[in-house]
Amino acid sequence: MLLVLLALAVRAAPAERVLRVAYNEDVATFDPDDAILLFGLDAVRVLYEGLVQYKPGTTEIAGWLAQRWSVSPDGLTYRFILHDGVTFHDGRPMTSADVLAYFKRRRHPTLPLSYFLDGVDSMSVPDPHTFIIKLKTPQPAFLDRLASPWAPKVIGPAALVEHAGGDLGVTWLNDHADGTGPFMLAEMVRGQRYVLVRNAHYWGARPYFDRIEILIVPTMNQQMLMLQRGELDIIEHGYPFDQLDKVPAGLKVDAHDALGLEIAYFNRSKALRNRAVRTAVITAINPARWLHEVFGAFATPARSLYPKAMIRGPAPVVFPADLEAARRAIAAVGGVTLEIGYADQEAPVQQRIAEFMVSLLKGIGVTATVRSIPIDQESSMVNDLQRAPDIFIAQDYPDSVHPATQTGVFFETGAALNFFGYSNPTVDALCAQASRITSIAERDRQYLRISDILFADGAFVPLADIKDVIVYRAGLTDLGTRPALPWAVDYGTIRRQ
Amino acid sequence: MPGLEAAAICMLFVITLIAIIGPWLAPADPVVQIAAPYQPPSLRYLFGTDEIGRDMLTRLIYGVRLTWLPSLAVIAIGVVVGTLVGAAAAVAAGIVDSMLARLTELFIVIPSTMIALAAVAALGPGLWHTVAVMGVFWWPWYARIVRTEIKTIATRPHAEAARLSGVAGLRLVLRYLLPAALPSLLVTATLDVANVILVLSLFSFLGLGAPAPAPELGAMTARSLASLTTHWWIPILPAVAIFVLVVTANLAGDGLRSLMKTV
Amino acid sequence: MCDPLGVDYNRPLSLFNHDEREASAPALDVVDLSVTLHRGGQPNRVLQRIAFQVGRGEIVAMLGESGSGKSTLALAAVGLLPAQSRPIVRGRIAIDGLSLENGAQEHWRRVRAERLGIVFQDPIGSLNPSMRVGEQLAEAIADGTPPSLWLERVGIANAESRLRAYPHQLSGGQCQRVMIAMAVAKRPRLIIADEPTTALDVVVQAQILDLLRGLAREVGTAMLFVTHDLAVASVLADRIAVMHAGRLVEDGPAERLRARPAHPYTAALLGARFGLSADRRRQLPTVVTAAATAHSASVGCAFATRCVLVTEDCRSTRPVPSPAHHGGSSACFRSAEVSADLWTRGLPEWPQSVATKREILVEMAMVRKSFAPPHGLFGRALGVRALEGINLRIYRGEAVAVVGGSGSGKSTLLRIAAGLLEPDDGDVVRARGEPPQVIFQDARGSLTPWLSVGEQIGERLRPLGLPRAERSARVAAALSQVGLDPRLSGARARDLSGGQCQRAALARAIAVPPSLLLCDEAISAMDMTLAAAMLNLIGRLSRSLGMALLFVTHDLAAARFVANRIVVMAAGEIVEMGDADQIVSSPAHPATRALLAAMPDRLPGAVA
Repeated sequence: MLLVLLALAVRAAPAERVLRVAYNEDVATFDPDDAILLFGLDAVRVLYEGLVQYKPGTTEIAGWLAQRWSVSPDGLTYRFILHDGVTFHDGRPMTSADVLAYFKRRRHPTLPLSYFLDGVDSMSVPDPHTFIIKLKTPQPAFLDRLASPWAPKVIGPAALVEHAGGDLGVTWLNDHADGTGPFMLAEMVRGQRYVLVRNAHYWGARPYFDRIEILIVPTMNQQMLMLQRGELDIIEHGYPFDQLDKVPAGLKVDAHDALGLEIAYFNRSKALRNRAVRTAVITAINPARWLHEVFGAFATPARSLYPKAMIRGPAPVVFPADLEAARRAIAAVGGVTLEIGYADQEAPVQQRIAEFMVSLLKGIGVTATVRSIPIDQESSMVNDLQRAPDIFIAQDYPDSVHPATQTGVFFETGAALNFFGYSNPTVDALCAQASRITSIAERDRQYLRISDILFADGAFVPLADIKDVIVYRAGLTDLGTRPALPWAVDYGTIRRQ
Repeated sequence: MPGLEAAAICMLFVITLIAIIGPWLAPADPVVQIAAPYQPPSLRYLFGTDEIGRDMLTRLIYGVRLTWLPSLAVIAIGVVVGTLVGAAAAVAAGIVDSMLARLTELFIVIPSTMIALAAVAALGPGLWHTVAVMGVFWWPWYARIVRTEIKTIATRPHAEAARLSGVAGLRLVLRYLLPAALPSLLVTATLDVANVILVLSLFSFLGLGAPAPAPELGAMTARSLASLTTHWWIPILPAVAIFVLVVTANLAGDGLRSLMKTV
Repeated sequence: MCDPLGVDYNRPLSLFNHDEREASAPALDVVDLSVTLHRGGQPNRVLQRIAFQVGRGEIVAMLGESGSGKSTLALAAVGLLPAQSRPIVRGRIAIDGLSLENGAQEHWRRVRAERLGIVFQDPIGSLNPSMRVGEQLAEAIADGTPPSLWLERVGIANAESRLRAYPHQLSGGQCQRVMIAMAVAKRPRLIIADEPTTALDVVVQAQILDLLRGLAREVGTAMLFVTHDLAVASVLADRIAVMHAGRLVEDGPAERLRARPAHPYTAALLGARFGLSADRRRQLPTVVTAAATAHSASVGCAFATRCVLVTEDCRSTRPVPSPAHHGGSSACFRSAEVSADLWTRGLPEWPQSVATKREILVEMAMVRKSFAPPHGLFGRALGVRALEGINLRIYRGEAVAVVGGSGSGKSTLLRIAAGLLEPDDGDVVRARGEPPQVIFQDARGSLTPWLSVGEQIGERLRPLGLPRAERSARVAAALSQVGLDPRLSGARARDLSGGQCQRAALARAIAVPPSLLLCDEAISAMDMTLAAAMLNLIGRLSRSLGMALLFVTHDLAAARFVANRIVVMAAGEIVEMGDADQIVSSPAHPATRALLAAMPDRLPGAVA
């Protein structure tokens, strides 16, 4: 009798399974409608769940809150059948009414990610398990939008009703979470750490870990030390590329294709107004000349203005190769001075790329300086092109795997990351057209044509497909990475062997 | 004067020489890659190469130039403006003196580094912006020195004798009063060089000052700190250069001070 | 460890007082003392084979000019030669029978504490600024008398309250009295005083000398008193020892030495010292050029280059001290031929003055001036009134002396007359002509350190717009006129001696001769022979250039010698004015009488 009790006692208190990760800085919020940055998505996706998601390691779409779905032949009506027994973190059951209430919230124009539901005509819930979205016009990319890491993910009534607080719960959701996901937000001490604990009521598969501790560690050196000492389990982003070939024993490297394409944006209102100069500059900054030094085996020259996981172009982009002609072109205008800007938050890597470019440009007679652009100034560069840098380099991610989200984020008139305000109605029309094509092969051909036009126009220069690299302690497996999910492992699936 | 300080004064001249003829002295271009990155110091590349594969020796030489010449410029501005203000205050006396003295104190009291940082950030990074702004904040100390020295010397018999000789106005100030301030000025200026170097390095560290990829010593150190354990020469050599400049300036200032005492 | 006398250094010193062997030992015994100091790495033989004694209870004055080595002797006698000069001491110094010349610092400290009283030149600087005066005095007292009693004995009023004062709250004279009290109160065997009154007002100086002598006699202490002033020496001392160029040239009883010196140098000092009865119609005797220092003339007598009695022997052989006619010793081959008027026979008369017209040069009417009140713990609310209603006329070509004690306002008067200060009230009217020039007390300080003498003299010539060659010629001429080598035109103040600096200042003043030359205590800081030379020079130049002279001084003898008219000032006002001889022989105002009385040759016990 005593032995049984003892055994029970031992069984009843297994050691808590903790996973420790690090962020460089605080997140603004985990609110899925308000969180627009690239990091923190790992936490968002285990706190909240969307209708559909990408399967791990692929660009295929699978169900999530929706167990199955159908699209009407005219492409306008999407019908989602929801899982049974889904509960929010506080235990309340989720019904289609909750989903509708949430989607309505998502559409509110004050929320930055409301554009995901542009083109939605109406939404309805015929019964507690069914959720119907009707579009105004067919959107072949719609399902990809719903699978995006930034897609709508259902927030519960605790946030939207009880703690709405007059701003749709935005303030409350800065420090709290109310979703359906396998983890709950237990602690949020800004500047120090966030703690996610396992949701005991989770409707789906039980995750391996009981606790995820997210530590705020600003310097990469510190993160690397902690990883070595076992105080961290994973570094999801930022491990120096030149040290990936000599990670200490006990650590492993996971490098997978992702959607982060390195692009050089040209400001064509200053020194680069001249086409011959642009061509000369492009000749000099050919990624083949510096890619290996910076990334080693972890990047390849771009094949088009789309990441290769999105559209695999037939061959790497062909850059002009005549350096002599480039030199002559620069000499012909009496020398050129350029400023290269880079995204500050990715400083070490981007600065290195920029300085390699400076070195190569010097070879053709161009004098260049380098300037870091803080993230809050990126979107205002377009307002004052004369003071903005001549070239801006950045590695950014589209919303999802569908090319329409690439052009819509980068190349179309008024796009969010169209840094220098490039506007070409022909291209816009072609993009609109291509977005309606359902045949994947046909669509890809169209999009590649757009890429050629843009490159020929000298506004966007595709540089490199850079792999997402995750360094983790040996023994961890089922990381659950996805090309569309930047800088993140899936805390729902990851486990220790 | 002890040998160390005499050696420091010689070093001052050597450093200034290097700073001026740097571009002709350096073996390579400071922004162009000449070899594989991260080469350690060797016979071929005396100080190795950095993360872009640029020659560290070249970058250090240009770095000294970028640090030393602007420092001298800031000191020069400070001395010239300070002398003008200090002499004007001492000679004018009365209300003008009071106002100028208050102005000087104001500049000394306000947190100049912070305001200078803000000013440079507003003007945009750039070496000569930084020098101009720093010059604006550097003159008050010298004004005070000049004012005090002139006021002191004006009461001495030889100043009275000069007035009796009929000397007045500008000639009195320039020939009979101002030279008394020169020893103090000189010594303070030399010792101040060290301060200016450190502040300039601070500015570069923070990303103001000459824009990247300019080889400014402070910026070079700051950026490559992460490589301290793997490629030590990239952050350590620029830091050593700053150290040498600062120590040389300080020792030279001490030497000048003892030299002045015997004059 | 024992010394040759068998004295055991390990015994407490106070027990030595009972030692029979020392009962007859002189207070200070210096035998064959040579001291070499290093300056700038170079060795200088500052003292050469000095030998003399100070008997118990005797007062000896060590007389010498700058460079004679007298201060070094005083320092050697108390064991305080500066370490950074790396002194090399040979010979013997014995205090109270204790040989100390190579003693360890520890022994010197004990001797200084128990046997020596020290009074040096800077009174305020010699006291501990952070201790109250009473405490410092109490530390020194050896016989348990209360400190207030000692303060009374040295003549400080309100002794009780003064005990609680700090040194900086007392005047220079009061501090010096405290120092004296401290020196005497410990009942030392020997008091060594080095120019203790040079920094003081003449009236105070007289009182201090009086006090020192009185106390020394009373307590039975011996005293070695170092000075450059023959008058002071003769007032104070039983014996006078004369030093020149690091050597002792004469040593003898004070009265007899004065009456008939036994060395030409002593005679020169006597002659240069002008008393109230000096012959005003003739120039003073001078020993040309600055005092020699020990590193001149290693062969022969150091005075040979300037001596009127010099022979070939003197140049080739050094005379050693031998018995002299007055009972002491003298280092001269011809000491029997020396007399007090050796140098004063056949002195030239003054040249005729070129100023003829009697017109008013400067007229000051009802001039008032006051300065802002001084800061300090006892700062009063009243402003300092420097001048009150001054009325004075100075005529062309006349020589006026302004005398007064410190604080009488004479310097302020000079500056207003010169145009350096503006009066608060009243008028200053000047006749047309060259603006006035001033000679200052601090000669070196009156020259701009970084400009050469020639440049400063040339500054005066600038308004004339002369071509360069002529200007240089005139600069050279001015230098020659004041007795300086024209080649010194390129020298700076730091290259010149004090006397040369004052001559250079004079050259600057007369380069374009002013109608009025003002002298602000111009000779007060000088040695006797130097002062005499300057007075001669000023006298000759003012007559030959037709300059009026305003001569500010505290020394009535100098005033009488230089000027026809004496103006006496006290507390910012002119209290008496009149013919020089008359003022001196029958002073009317109490202030004048006080000044007269303070002159050393008028102190009781002095020989006129």
